[in-house]
Amino acid sequence: MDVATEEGKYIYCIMDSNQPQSFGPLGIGGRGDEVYTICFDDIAALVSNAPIKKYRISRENSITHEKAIEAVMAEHTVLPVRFATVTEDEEKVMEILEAEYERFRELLNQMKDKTELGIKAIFKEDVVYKDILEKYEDVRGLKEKIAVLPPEKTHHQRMKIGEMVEAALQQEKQTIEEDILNTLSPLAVEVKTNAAYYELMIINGAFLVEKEKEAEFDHQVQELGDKYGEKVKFKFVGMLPPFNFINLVIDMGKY
Amino acid sequence: MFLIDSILLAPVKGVVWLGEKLNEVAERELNDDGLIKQELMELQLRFELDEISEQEYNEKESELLDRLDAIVKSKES
Repeated sequence: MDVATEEGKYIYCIMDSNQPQSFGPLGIGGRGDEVYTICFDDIAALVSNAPIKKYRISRENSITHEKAIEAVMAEHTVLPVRFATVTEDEEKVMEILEAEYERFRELLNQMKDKTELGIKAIFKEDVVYKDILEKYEDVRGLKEKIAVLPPEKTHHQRMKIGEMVEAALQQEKQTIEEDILNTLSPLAVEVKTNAAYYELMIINGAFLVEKEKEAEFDHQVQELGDKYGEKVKFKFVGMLPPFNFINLVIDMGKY
Repeated sequence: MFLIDSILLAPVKGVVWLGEKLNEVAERELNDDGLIKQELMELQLRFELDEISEQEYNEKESELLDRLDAIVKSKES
């Protein structure tokens, strides 16, 4: 067999289960491979048959990766394994589970009954700039002053306005980010804010929340939505595997 | 709804084993690939916010992933 198409076991996550069990044809690679558990004691790896090769971080692949984990997370605690982790065979998977049993067990205990909730908040472009003009008198004043002058004479002033608007935008972002964090962080066990990689993005945050507090968290998000909805677009994703808090890296060279 | 950025930005917690050498490679990669990964996340966001169509998304994504592959490949050789 060609090396490039050698078959292996793709690992989605580690979970608390002592039952060999199938979760349906959800496997990565589009072949409809069964996703199933390989158990050691009371922990298991969720795997499917898959070729040993590089997997691109395409939307399609990453959705498949996530769906497999989501299929088990309602009933089990999960530790996401890094995307595109493939081992040779079942024996290798067992070896990993056995060798890392204690660490996996401990992390599973930490993650028990917790879920990840994600929030992105983004300014609505058309509203926020209008808002800034209304709210910041100095910006408005300068704008009105140069509006009557010919453009070639106001290059410097227009640059200045650009800077002022930029500063105002940062100020607005910071205020709302603080409010969001102050509101939601007390409900979370752990909070992680990722870099806002988009000009108008206010926050890109992940919250590790105890499942019993999820309803309250939802409610608070709802309130934030009502409070800022006019100028901020919220993207709220709920009940995710703890991707932002656990990302197991398994080095195959060791086993 | 899935977030590619969870995968791209997820911290490595609960590292089972990661050799120093591997670590170095990962860090270098992060620097070189950082820009493309950022573009991928931005693309995903635009798609999530319905600013672009699925077709546009797929075309641009495939272009970015090709570039990412090229970087990885050039490092391996």
